[in-house]
Amino acid sequence: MNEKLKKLINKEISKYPSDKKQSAVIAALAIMQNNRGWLSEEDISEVSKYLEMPEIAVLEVATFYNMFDLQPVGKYKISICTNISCMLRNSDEIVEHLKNKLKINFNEVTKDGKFCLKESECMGACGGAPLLTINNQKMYENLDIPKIDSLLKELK
Amino acid sequence: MVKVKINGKTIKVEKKSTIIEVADSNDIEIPRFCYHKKLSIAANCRMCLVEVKNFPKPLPACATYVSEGMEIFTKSKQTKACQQDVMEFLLINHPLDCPICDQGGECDLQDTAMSFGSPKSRYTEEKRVVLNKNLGPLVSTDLNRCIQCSRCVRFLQEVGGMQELGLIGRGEHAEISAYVEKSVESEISGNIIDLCPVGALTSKPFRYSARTWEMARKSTISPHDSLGSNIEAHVKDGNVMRILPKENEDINECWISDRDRFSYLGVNHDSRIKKPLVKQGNVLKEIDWEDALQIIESKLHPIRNNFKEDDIAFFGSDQLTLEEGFLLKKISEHFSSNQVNYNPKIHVNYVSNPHLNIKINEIESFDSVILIGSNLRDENPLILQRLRKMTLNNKKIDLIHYEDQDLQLQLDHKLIKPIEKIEKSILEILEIALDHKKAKKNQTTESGLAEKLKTQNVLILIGQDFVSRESILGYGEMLNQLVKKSSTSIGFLPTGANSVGLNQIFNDKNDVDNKSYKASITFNHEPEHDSIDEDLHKEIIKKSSFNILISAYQTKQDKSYDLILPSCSHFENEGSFVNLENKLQTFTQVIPPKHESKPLWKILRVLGNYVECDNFNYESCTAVKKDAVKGLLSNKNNNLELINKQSKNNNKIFKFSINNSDPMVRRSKALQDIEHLRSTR
Amino acid sequence: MNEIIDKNIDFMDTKDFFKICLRTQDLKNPGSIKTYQSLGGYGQIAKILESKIDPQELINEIKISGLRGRGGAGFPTGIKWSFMPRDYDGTKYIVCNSDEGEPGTFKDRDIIRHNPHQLIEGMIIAAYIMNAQVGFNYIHGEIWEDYKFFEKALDDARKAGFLGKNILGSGFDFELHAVHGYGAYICGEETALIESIEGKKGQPRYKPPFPATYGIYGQPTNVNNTETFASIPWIIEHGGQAFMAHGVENSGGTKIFSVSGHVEKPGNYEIQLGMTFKQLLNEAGGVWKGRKLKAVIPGGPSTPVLPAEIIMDATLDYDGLSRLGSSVGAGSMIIMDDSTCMVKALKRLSYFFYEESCGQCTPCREGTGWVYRIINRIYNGKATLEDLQLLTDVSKKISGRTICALGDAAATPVLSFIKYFRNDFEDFIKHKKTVS
Ligand SMILES: Cc1cc2nc3c(=O)[nH]c(=O)nc-3n(C[C@H](O)[C@H](O)[C@H](O)COP(=O)(O)O)c2cc1C
Ligand code: SF4
Ligand code: FES
Repeated sequence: MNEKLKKLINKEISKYPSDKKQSAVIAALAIMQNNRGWLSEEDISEVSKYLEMPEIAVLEVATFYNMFDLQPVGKYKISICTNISCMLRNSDEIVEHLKNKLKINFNEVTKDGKFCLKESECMGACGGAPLLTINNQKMYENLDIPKIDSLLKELK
Repeated sequence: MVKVKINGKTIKVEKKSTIIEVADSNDIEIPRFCYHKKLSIAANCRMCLVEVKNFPKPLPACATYVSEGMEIFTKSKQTKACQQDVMEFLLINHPLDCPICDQGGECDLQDTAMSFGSPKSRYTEEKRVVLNKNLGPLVSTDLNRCIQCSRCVRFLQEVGGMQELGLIGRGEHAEISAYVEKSVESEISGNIIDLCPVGALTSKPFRYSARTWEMARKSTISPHDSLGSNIEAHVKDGNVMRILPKENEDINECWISDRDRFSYLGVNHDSRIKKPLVKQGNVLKEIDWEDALQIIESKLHPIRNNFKEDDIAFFGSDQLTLEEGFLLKKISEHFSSNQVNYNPKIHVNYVSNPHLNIKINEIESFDSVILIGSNLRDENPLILQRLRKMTLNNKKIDLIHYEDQDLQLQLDHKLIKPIEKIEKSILEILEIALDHKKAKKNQTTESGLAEKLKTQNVLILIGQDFVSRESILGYGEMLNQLVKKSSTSIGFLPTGANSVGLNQIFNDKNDVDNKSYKASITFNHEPEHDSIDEDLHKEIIKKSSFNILISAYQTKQDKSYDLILPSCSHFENEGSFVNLENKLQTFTQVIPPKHESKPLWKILRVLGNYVECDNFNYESCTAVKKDAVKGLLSNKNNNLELINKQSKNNNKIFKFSINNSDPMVRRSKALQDIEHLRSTR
Repeated sequence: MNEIIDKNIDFMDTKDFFKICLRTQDLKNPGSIKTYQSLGGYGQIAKILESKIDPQELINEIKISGLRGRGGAGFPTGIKWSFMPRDYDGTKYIVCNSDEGEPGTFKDRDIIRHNPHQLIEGMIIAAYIMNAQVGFNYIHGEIWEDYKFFEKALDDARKAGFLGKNILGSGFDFELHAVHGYGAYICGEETALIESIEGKKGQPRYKPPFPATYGIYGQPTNVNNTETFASIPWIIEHGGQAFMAHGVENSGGTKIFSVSGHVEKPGNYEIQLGMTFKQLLNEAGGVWKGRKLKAVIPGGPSTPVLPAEIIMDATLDYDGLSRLGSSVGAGSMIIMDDSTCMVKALKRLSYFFYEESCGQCTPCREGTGWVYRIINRIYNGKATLEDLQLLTDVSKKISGRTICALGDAAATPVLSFIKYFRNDFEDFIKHKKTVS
């Protein structure tokens, strides 16, 4: 864990009482994941040491929350919502298109290691359905097929 | 007190009790899986749902506190429907192959399904498949059977003090796991086997070796620590197949340590001595008992061999029973010997009869406990568990020690310094607490602890490490003053199964000296592991001309003995131990003696006869006990009685390690495997 | 009874759109502290601190306003706040629940990005009223950019002296932090959210004890929805009566409806409670592509679906919808036109609850999976008519027997879909598809 990561995590820790470091575990894991792209065993152990909590308790958290990935997800993780509001706005078509274009199924990574496709639950932005996020951070809304095509081109 | 009605019957109950507690104490059956009286309430299995008047939904009996006028129905239509439905849900993903399950015949799920379930399942989909995990040498998993009650997780976290297992993933996919390929290493982890209401966690060593109905159940006492855990041995074909706890709220509650549970695996170890052995030249030769006793008569008879005072050295063991100790004392007196190392792990030279002074179940009534110099995790994990429970109830534990200890509980103060310095700190704490001395201006840990001693109801627990050291003479008197002045109590934590009993029998005996003896007898221990003075033992054996070992197992030093007699292992023996709270517990034989071994009390009795001890015609162990208990202290004594036996003492400290505590434990493969895993971390 | 209904309908026809929580939405730089202050923002907390207004007085005002929790359950906010112990030695917490993850819910996001300071001011007022020292806003992990935006808003508020120690020189301290989830719908449940803040899996706690006595780290804690907090400054400014007047009896004030699915203009619409459904649908541009309305889930999947015939006459307020057998919920209105396959829709919703069940209690963990598998079987043409009965039965056995309300929520769509659209399901079983 380098100094930059520590600094980010410390900021999260500072939100909680001094004897309740473990409260920052979700944030700390998210920071580690942003760094590597996914969470390795080493990341989990480091967070456990840093927050002084049992490794298994960190693993429990890392496996409970959907946005954590314990396997490599390629350079761009595309999480696409297929829940009802998106479904009603034809997210199925977008999914099909992505699968065909990238030649992968959900939870697979493209051969070049660039893309991974994840099916996601409601992201709380259904007014912009259908939608997706890239690497948990950037959201793209009101998708249609041309938009997907240009997005894929953008992602180098 | 409040009045509630259960199934139409009015009862008065404690206000702060849950429905399930009320039901349990009134013999009203409410099925449950996640609830366990010693664990936090999870209310997750929903098996205990009951109908309560004026509540629109059924309530979990385990998590619902009673209130005045509450009307509970444990057998109503609604309650029964809930039970059936939960059962149906639980079974949809649970294998229905009880005949091949290790838990079959003693499974809560199976029993509950019989009494509360519905006869047929309407679930036609595929069942969940969960891969098994390797949790180490003690606990075996069959996770398809897991019903996610979380008892194991809660136990290790709350009672074990360290979360070693978790439910990872979520929803239907959640599964019990340790962290990536880690094993479960708590000293009391085996209890999760008992806690698991289904066959998901079972005993790895026991696995598939017997069915529950094939085994006879025999009660006994565990011989590995001074708690004297009540245990039940399950026996088949003359062998102990497994050990389970026997509930005794005042001693071990419903737990046992892994050492208690798995030591039986050492009973049939290859190194068991099968017949008496005599040294001829440089080899040990098997002989008959009769011949062995002849040798004893000729070599040991005090008159014929012209033994004088202190011509024979005795090396006992803290696992000797009261009866064995008593016979040994009589024999030693017959030899006019004053020198018996009855507890080779410790020098009991400064405190007379160190024991707990209070009842075990009184420990938790103190506001706070100051633990001085005990490695409790190794020495007495179930006492430690009680301290942990105290911290969960917001009571405070402090540690004073000469080396850092991870007790896996939240400490209030921790004072760790090298041994001489820590002894000075203890002095200082007591001086401040007794107002002999003013505290330094800036708050130190010492002054903090002293303040606590002044203001709170504190129990000071002193481990065996400090009992062995002369320095206790320096602060012992102050401890006594403190007891008089405040609500402080002092207790000691002896380590051996019968340390307290033997202390009382041998209180007027001295340690073996470093001088020449004509003969020596070593009982049931291996000095290289079990003695604070291994070198002394070696030297004496070298110097004396006739050395006997009476033991269940061959040892590394076998060749230094002239005669070796096979004694029984604990489970083949009978007798009594006095535990750390001074409670006498008697146990009987669980399995017949292996090979030609004999119970030690019998060996001693015959040996006594051969050397012509007086009044030695005991017909039974019970008869020995009758005489032996006469000298025991009955009262509890809050003061510590300082003595000074003036024996030579090197102030050494015995390094205690849980799975190296006695010969049987050292021969239990599973325990040694877990020890190996722990030490390689 | 009739009289009341009639009166309501009369009254309702006059209801229009009126913005309270989203009042900055159409301004320039809607989310900035400047914009908020230009509307008199932070004036209320300043006034309160200045004149040290008695918290009890403020609670009364909130009670008068008729404000009900906007997170779904609709519990009266004023009453809830009075449950917090007044005198308490340790830290007390307030938590804003911005974890909206129930399908179709996206209103809190717009408050966070378009009017964060009103939320912040609402929370400061709440903290003052309940004498809480620390607050958290727990934000759904998927709206990351909005989370970041809110952190910045907090910084601005801190710099302006509205947060931290000795706020506006009053001696009152309150620190507010933004924290985020990372993909778990169940963390919207308030006790799961508390566990999550403590750094654990989001598994709901058994209640009682309620958060007001045993919340974060065992300390008294009050959890409210984002919209609930964001309504507070306006209520304090204009009085409870005025807020009430924007709604109808039992349903004070305005409420955001998140309209999604088959409408021309999906989005958030803040309405005065009591408005008719027709009016809202109209405002949202009507049914998508001019198709016919088939069904509406008025308040999110945990509220029963209503077929077009029934919803068309609805007024949008707590009593209005409950009279029709559904509920306002979180105001997550999902519109389905006549091209919708109800089996597929229910399959997706059931999959959601199955996926999102935290798994601790038996009926929910085992039941949601079972339900999903049966519907899947129907969808794949492998079911019999008896399976519909089984489906209903299993759902009923989940409902009311779980630790948290997710169990009930999971049962609701199943029961209501089958109740109103049984034909669709029977068709599917008989013909392996919907005949429409
Ligand atoms: C499964 C489940 C999910 C929930 N999700 C949310 C949510 O996303 N946002 C929310 O405000 N309340 C949610 N709630 C309701 C909260 O538990 C809680 O009642 C609410 O935050 C209280 O705020 P209010 O009184 O202001 O409505 C959820 C409840 C359940 C059972
Ligand atoms: S109802 Fe479901 S989500 Fe709620 S506690 Fe139970 S298992 Fe968890
Ligand atoms: S025993 Fe009460 S819910 Fe499990």
